[in-house]
This record gives sequence, C-alpha cells and structure tokens, in this order.
Amino acid sequence: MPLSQYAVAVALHQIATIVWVGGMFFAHMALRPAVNQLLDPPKRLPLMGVVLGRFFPWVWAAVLLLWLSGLWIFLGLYGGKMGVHVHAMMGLATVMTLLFGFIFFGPFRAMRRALELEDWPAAALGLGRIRVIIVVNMLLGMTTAVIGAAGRFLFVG
Amino acid sequence: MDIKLAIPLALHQLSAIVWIGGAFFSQFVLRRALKADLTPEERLPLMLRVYQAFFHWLWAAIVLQWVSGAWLMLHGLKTNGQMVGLHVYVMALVAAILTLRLLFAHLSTYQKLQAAVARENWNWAAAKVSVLRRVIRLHLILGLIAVLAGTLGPHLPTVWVHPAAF
Repeated sequence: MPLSQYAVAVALHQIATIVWVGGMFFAHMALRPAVNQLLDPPKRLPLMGVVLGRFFPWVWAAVLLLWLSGLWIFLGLYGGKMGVHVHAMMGLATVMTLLFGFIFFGPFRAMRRALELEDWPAAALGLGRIRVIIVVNMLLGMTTAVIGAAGRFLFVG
Repeated sequence: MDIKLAIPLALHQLSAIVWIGGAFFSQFVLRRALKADLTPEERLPLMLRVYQAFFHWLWAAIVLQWVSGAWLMLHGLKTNGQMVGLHVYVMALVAAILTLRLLFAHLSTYQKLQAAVARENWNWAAAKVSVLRRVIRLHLILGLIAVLAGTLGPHLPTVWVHPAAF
C-alpha cells in the first residue's frame, strides 16, 4: 500500500471532518444561544438563514471530500478489505449524508421561502427542524470521528 | 483492543474538532454573515456573546488536547525507546503558542471588548472584535498545521527525536 497516498487521503478526510462536525458544534453550542438571547425573530431568522446559506456549501464540499477520500482508501488502497470500524464509518456516513440532504432540500428550502415572505412562524418552524437534525448529525459525526481516530484500537477484525 | 490508546485518541479527535472547526466557522461563515446583516449596535454585543460561549468550549478543548496529547506522547515515549516523531513536537509547539495567545486575548482583549460593549463605545468594540478575529485566524492556520502534522506525520518516514534534544 503506498504510504504517502494513504497519508494525504487521511489528512483530507480529517480536515473535512473538522469543517463539518466542528461547524455544527459552533453553530449549535456558540452561535444559537447568542442569537436566541440577543435578537428578536425578525432579525434572528434572516440572520440564521444567511449563516446557514454560507455554511451549507462548505458542508457539501466536506461531504464530497469525505466520500472521495474515504473510498480512495477503502477501494483504491485496500481493495475493499478493511476492518469493522471502517464499515461502521461508512454506515454512519450514509445516514449523515441523507440527513444533510434532507435538511438542505426540505426544511432549509421551506425556511428560505418563508423568509422571503417574512412569514416568521413558518421560518422558525423550518429552523427548529434544521436544529434538531443538526444535533443528531453532530452526535453521529462525533461518533464517526471517534471511530475513525480510535476504532482500530476498539474493534477486533 | 487497546483502550489505553483508544481513549486519548478519541478525546484528542473530539477536542480538535471543537477547536479548529469552531475557528473555521467563525472565520468563514459567521463573520461575513454578520457584517452584511446587522448594524454595529446589534453585531458587537452579539459577537461578545458568541465569543463568551465559544471561549468556554475552546478552553475545555485546549485542556483536553493537552491532557490527551501528553498521554499519547508518554505512551509513545514508553513504546519507542524514549523517542517520539518530530511531528509530535510540532503539535506541542502549536498548542503552546495558541494556548498563550488565547490566554492573553481572553485576559486582555476580551475584557476590553466587554467594557466597550457595556459603555456602548462601538468603535472601540469593533477594534477589539477585529483583534479577536485575528487571534482566531491564527488558531485556524496553526491548528491546520497541527492537523497535518497529526495526520501525515505517523504515515511518513519518521524523524525520531529524544525529548532531551530540546
């Protein structure tokens, strides 16, 4: 197995993980409490719309980079024969990708439409749904990241 | 199964995500969104509140990085004849620089931002926010260098270094 290719793929995988999971953490744990405390819905909801609109293209890039670098290692370098922890990562990644796709094409679109109409209750409903799914994805992402870092010392086979 | 390695690796991973991912979001997502949408009277108290929450998590992440990093380094020293790779020292150096820079920023710049917002002196507050933004940019750049050291280092030809060399 070419060692340097593996190293480059792992580095890209790690950077994309940090952008996606760390971004969700900051949005939920630092930004959300601040805007909830200081801004009224007519200010807060458009702001969150702009913030998510800036974050989500980075998430798409991270998703793409994670799948490409992950499959490069799994198929390209190891010929599809890797341990249980790698299969666990791919399973979790599939769920996370589907959940993010659902956010983007479902509640996020609904929220943007509601913001254009200045329909604050509908925008708040969309944002609430996005928040719940982001918390789920953040926890799944942290689990996946821990499996990626420590999985080979946790699982047998 | 080696829980002695799995636990510090898991903690190191999670705290790196919170630290560098937060710096990334703050620089590339939040900053421009706030500039476009809010007046200084709205934006600067909000930034103060965001930094307050982020710095708490950041300190927790930094403590976890040091504890888990030292744990892994000691394990490495024990199993590799008192040597660890050069990339480990790169990570430790980055951590030392960023810890000191954040400590100074938290004790000085952040307190001044708090005072400026309390007095509604928006020019002063904006100046302090831009200092904190540069601090976070430093965290992002050096943090990414540490990530490269941590991910590339173990898989490339290792330069073994004895701690006494420093």
